[in-house]
Amino acid sequence: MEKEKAMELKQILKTRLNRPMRYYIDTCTRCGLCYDTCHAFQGIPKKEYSPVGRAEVVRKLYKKYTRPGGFIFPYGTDATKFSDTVMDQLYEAAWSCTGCRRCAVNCPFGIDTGQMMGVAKHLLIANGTAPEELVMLADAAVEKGKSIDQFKEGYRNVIRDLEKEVQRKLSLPASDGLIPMEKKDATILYVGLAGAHSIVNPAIIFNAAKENWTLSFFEAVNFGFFAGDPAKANFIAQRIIKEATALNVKEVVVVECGTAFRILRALMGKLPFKVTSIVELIHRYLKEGRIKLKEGAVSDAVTYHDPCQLGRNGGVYDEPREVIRKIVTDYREMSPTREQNWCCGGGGGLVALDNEEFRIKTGKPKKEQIVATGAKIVVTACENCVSQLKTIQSGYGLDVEVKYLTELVCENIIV
Amino acid sequence: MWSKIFYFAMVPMVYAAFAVLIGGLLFKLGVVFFSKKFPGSLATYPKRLPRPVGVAAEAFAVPAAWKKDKVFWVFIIAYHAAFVLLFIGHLELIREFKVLQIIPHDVFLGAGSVGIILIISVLYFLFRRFKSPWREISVPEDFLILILLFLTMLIGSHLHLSARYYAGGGAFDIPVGAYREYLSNLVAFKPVVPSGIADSPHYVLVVLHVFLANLVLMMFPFTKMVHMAFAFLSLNLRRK
Repeated sequence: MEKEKAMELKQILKTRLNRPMRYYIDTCTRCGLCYDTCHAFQGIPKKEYSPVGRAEVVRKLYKKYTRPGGFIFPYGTDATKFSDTVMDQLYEAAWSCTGCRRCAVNCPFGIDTGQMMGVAKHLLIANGTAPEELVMLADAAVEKGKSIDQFKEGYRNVIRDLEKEVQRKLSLPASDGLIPMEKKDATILYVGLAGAHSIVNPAIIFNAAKENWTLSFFEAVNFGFFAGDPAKANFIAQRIIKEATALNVKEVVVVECGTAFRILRALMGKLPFKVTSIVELIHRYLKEGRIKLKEGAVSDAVTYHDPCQLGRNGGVYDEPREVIRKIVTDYREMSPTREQNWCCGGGGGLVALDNEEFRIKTGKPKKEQIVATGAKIVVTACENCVSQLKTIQSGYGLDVEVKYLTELVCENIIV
Repeated sequence: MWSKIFYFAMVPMVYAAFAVLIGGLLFKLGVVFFSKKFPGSLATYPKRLPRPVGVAAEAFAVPAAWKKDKVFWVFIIAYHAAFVLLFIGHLELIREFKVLQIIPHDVFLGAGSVGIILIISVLYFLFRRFKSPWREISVPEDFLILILLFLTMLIGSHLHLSARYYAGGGAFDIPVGAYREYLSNLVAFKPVVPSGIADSPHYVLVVLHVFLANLVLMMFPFTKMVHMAFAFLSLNLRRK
């Protein structure tokens, strides 16, 4: 590795040395309690896929460049310099981690390996060895944010077609205004994804609840965050924040995308509006009697997969279960569940990469959980999870159907 | 020459060790508090207890270890509880604290069991690292610290047990009064190594014990032992 490149990487390493990172570097005792808490390790049992194995790659760099001990006596802590080998190790560590934070829950010190992998991803971008797919998707999202006016008309045309689908489902005489856009002072700004399902199903629910809402021009997904580029991640999130502020909405409702929800709810600091997941909103509508569901309409065995960013990292556990229990007669809980639920293996941007074989292997604990429930339908509330669960389903030949929670709700909504 | 080396370990190095320990900890905490805060929340859910209670429960009861490895948990709790008693015992070697005599006892509390618990626990932590997968995730620092703690505690325990149970008919006894004279004078910055210690056949072991303890104290802020302070801060982040 060239000296200039190593200097550049060293600089990034130092700029990422914030307060949590200082705790995570110095506190780990390598007790090993996290060792097998990662789904990737369960699927492919090697040290490099254990949380401590991953974190140590970053930690050893910090020891080398920011700790006197690492400079004076590097052998003591295995402090390591930047090299091509280390960058390969960083790649393997960062791009096998979904940022599910199951390890953080099981660490006696609460060390968040996901945060440390954020540093690893940032270093890989600077080194030019980050996954190209994600970097390009992040760039496209940034470009859209910079020149949104060019996209607006084309997007409106797409939405007009989707409004007709909503009209059909709700048996309404006209489709105009069923998916409002740029509506100032709306109560809710809904942020969807590129897929039609992420707009049509929520639009059905909003209209059924007679909500005063408007659709965002942007997708909720944050490829900058997935890629590990903090500047792009912030820009992509700020697009939505600026839009919500300009429209003066009271609440931003995020599509079934765990990471997008967590970024806006937990990682952007204090915002002038409330951030809610569509799952929480559906639950609220049910409680308030604003929508009605066909109770007990589904007799097949159903289980729910907690998306990590919604459950473990967002605290949304009970709402989806209560909604599902209204519709289904045979609900089965996975084991382990809630904060100890296994990650599906598709988060953190992994599902967007060409790594299907790896994801099938690392999806093994999830496969075993699903099989153990005996469920015929797996419901979840995250785009990445749905994609990954479908990969697991086809990879292991499981006789199950994977559904979005909004899909299940729309199939059973009384209009 | 040996008397000079012994004196160095017993007096100037002790001051240096405490200066490094206190200065190092203050420096580390200062750097942390002046470093960039995380703008959002790193919480995990559910948060079953209020933040301070939850942090204390996780730090002192270590439920993460209880769920995963009960034998390891027993040794973690035994080691840390014994370490607190060890600290109290050393305070009582400086002077008598009436409040600590609520339960009347000779110095140290535990009649020698504290040192033995510490030694067994440290040996468990050490041998655990010889086994896979802990062997693969260990770095030299992990072994070095445990060996250093083992030697310090072994010698300290030997000194205590031989004095308490009159090993060798009392020939190896260094009375508590001699330690109190030595340590209270150190605290008062009027250092002296009393004859009760310097003339004992055990003097070399006392020097070794103090020397190794000095090394442990100096390493404290700059190694993973700093988890004693950072664990609370790190656990607090997960509940913020």
